[in-house]
Amino acid sequence: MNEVAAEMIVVITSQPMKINTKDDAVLRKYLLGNLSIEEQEDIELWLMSEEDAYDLLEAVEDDLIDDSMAGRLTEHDLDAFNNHFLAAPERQRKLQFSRAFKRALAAALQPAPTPSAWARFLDALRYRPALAYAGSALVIILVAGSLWSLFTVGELQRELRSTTAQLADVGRDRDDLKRQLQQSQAATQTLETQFRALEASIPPTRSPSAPVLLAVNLIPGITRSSNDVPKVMLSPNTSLVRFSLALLDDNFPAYNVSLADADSREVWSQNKVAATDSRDGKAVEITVPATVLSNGDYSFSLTGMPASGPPESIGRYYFRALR
Amino acid sequence: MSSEKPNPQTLGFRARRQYNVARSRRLDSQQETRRRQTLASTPNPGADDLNQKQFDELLLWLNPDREKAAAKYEWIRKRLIKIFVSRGSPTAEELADRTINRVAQKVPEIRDSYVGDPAHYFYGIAKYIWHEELRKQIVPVLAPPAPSVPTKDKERDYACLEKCLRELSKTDRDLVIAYYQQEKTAKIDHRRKLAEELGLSMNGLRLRAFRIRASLFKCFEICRSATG
Repeated sequence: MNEVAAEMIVVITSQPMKINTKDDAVLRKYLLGNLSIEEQEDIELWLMSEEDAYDLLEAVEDDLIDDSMAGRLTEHDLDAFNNHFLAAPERQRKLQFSRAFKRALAAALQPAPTPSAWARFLDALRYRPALAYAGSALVIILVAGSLWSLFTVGELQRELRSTTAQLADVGRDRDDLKRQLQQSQAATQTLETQFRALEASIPPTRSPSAPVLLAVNLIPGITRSSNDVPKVMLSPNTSLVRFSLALLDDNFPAYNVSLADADSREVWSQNKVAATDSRDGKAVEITVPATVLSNGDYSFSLTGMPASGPPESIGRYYFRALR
Repeated sequence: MSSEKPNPQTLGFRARRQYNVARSRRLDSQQETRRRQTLASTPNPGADDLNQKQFDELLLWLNPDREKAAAKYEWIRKRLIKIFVSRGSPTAEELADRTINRVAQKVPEIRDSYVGDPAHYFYGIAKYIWHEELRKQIVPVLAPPAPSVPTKDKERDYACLEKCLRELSKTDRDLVIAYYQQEKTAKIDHRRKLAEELGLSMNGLRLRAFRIRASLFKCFEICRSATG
């Protein structure tokens, strides 16, 4: 053994590499047992020397198995593959694995007729790190921008809600004011109606600078020739003259009043006037437009109108109008 | 060297009787664990036993740093197995272990005089072991052609592979599919384009794709042994 080992040491350390171990064809021949002893030992020495040699040989082994399954081996190689290469149980298991792997590859490729633009983009990112970093930065910027936009939109929505609420308040205030205005208008209309009704009940010509109404009390028993005939001073602004015809007795429910000038011509009359209580007792009060009076003597003729029976002359009330 | 029966005091590597699935899995997928086991150095005794002292001397010869020595040990062992497999041995792991034990026994004699990579010495001994094996078996035992796999097993294998593909990162999955997908001439162009995209040489791409496929194979083996 010592001699053998020593001899081999000399051989190993002195023998140069004669074949190209990076040639797949050579490695395949080695795996199929088709190399000469010298070539075989070159490969094995390379395997015991180079770090990557083992993996490269295994890779060729995988390719050989794939080729055998794909029917790409010559008859001679196939024979060597079955009788030499597959001698190790490990390689038989590798063959089984490769069968399943081939099926998985076919399945993986089947559902991808045309990669989508998105998939191509992802592939581009995967194989180009710089692009991936740039893409990541872009995504971060987009995410930050989106968050900022969301925040801003949130703020705007809050402001919008606040403004909407304020508008609603203003609307409610406006409706209240509108309602108040309508009530006020209705009240004004009512007042106008009342005012018009009141105005209609009042004679139209009236002077604010002079008395509108002149009150005159007349008593019976005074003759036209008497110096005590009451005088009624009519100013130009006097529009109405209110006469109070004093009654000695109030024996009738109503009275007819007739106003006659000095020529005994009736210038004004009013029927069915009831007596009223005055400061000096019972009286018949009538309002005569001042326009019917001019300078001169006038007299009221008062007739009592009983509930039944003929009217009864009560008396005359004289006065003198002066303008 | 030792025909004596195994005993607790005798520590050494057992010459493996079978190059079986479980052993392979432990080799491939748990290299780190195995390196730890190598450091712990409690192998089972067997025909080519070596004791603790011999094993320690072997590691020391490989590298004064025991961690690095264990890594080197595994590196050499993996390649010895590959050599025996490639020479058509169905018992490659056993032959590799026998080679290691033989080297360990020789370390005291050669460590002061040997110049060069210890791996090359292992290789020389491996060739000697192979010749011994050939002398024992005039006609090497050749495996029968791979039997056709029953449909049930195919489905199990496929399920395992799908599971293992899902466990890969998306980048690795896409790469391994892209690398192995094309046929013949289209494959070369496709791989060249893929290498350019990844900024790798063709050889770099090949190694990367192979390593992903190798990790799939490890996962596949574990899954099959768990479901089979």
